[in-house]
Amino acid sequence: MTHAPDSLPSVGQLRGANPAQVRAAASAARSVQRQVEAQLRALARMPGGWEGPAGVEATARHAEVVLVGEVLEAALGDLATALEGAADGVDGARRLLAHAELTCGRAGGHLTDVGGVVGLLDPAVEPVVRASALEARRRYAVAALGLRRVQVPRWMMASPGSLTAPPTGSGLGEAPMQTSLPTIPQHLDPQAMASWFAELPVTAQAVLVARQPDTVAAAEGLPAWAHDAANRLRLDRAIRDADLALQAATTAALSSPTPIDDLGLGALRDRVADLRAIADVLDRQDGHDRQLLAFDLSGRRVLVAISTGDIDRAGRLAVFVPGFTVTPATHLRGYDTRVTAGSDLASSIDRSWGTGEGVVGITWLGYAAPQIDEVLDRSRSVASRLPAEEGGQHLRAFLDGLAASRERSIGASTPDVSIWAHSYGSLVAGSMLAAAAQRHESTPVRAVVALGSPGMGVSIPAQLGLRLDQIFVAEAELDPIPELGVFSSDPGHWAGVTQLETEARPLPDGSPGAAGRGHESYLTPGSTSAWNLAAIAAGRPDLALTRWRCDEPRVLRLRDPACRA
Amino acid sequence: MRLRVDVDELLALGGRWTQVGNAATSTGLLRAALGSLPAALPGLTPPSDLVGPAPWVEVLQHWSRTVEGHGAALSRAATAYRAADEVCRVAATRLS
Repeated sequence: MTHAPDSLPSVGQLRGANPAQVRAAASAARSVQRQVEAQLRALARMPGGWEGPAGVEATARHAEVVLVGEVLEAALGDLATALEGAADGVDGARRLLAHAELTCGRAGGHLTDVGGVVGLLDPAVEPVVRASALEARRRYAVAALGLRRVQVPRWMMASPGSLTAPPTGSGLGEAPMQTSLPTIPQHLDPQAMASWFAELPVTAQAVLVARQPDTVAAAEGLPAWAHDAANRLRLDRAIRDADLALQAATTAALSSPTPIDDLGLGALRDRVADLRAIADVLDRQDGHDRQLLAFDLSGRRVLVAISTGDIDRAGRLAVFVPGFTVTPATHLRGYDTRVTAGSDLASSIDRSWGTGEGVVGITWLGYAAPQIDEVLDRSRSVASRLPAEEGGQHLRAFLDGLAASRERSIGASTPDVSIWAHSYGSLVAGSMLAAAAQRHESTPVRAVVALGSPGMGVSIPAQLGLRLDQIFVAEAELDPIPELGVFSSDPGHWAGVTQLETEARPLPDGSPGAAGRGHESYLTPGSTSAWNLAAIAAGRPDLALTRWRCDEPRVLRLRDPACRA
Repeated sequence: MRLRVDVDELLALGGRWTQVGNAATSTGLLRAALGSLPAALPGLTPPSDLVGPAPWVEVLQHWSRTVEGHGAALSRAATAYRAADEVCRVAATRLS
């Protein structure tokens, strides 16, 4: 008889485990989560028209309390999920142990509580029984590991100004929170910022978000929920301000002899249109909990990044980087629709063929894309690399912030990032990757797909700092842009990187993939190209279809109806 | 000067928050279920958040008190506004 390692729970302890009780705890946590969710739904918006200090104070406090409730609700959901996972793990371990015991019993033996095997008539069975019992104990030990990642939101204990101490008297005008408001430290890198924020009680985090949304939004490294909440508050305020400004300017223009365009009405209308597009996308009721990850009002057009789901819990990310002429008003709605469909397909592929962690898409309009009326401006022209280089810096900071918040605040690993870089956006992605490679820095990018690319700003793919099997290129028929090759070299001619199919092909899931035509076809739902992008984002590039060329060997040509024709 | 905020709406909102804060969540069930985990998982050390004085339940109780407190504050504000508005209305009537 041999004793198993002491570090693992014993066979007797596994026998005594009660997964039904763990499942009951999961059910209780899920039930309370739903109650908090229902409470949040019942807490309506603040009444309109309440101005002055008391109204401002009440609105801020409303935001604080709701934020805390949302964090609590999410944490309860994590607890329930972890308990469900633990129950499943214990069930699995006990099934394996039962199988070992059955095998042992059939051979006339008995498995003891300490993992020993006694009384076997057939000694050849012993190693099998012992190995199965050891594996069962290992699985049992692993089953509860998920619980360690769940933390109860820490609450700032009752003290003047804490959320646990409601204001006294009429209270609302006294700004009671400000006495204990923490200050966001300056000049911290994303990792340090993430650590600092993670140390705060959830109540203090909520106060910060509600009282200093601009500072929170600008701080790279904070969790996605904090950026989302702060940016939504800023969006509401920006819409109110822009509507009022446009209204005032329109009224002034009607009584002014100056031509209307000279009064800046066009810029105000653009601002309102950008903001309305962002609000429309965030309000979409399609089952996706979008997050407003970035929202920058400092430039001519609004810069924005919106995810299709919860970044803090995403397994993999697909970041869409668009190109020339893109603005929120003109492109955000359409791109969000396609990125959502693409990331949904990627999640489906991940569930069927991958790890099942899920893929969240991000529509990243986080740089000032060159516009048509800027073509003659050397620093802003689409023919210049400058906007792309600046955009690459923005993209790098954005990705670094996401990675830092995941590692430090959430305790999760850095998600694998795939970049779907379209047109001039491929130069933005190329600039970011090349700059990182030059400085020997790593990024969370695990794959980049250049879609209709005029060049990524590098002569050879190795300058991107990725392996060749992490670089993909798609060039659709009737898309003139990739033929330009104006930024260093044409990725369509790079040796060693994967050239993706864009023609009609049967897809690995049995559905027919449609052909893509033209520069805007790459993310079209149902297309071969969209499948390829999803497969890469799901971490299964082997399921992407590579391009067949009619000039390739005969065996390939015969498989291609287009070539046969 | 009259108020622009709808006092009835504010009062109803305060009442709703207070009601939500007072509504019982199933903390007793959760406390018992989490408390049984060490026995359900013999040989495994449960995370510190799942043992001791039921920290999840404490946080839920804090949350309920916070919601209730905000509801009470809104109701107090609405009541104070209503009283002030009435004073303004009477004063305006006398002036006219």
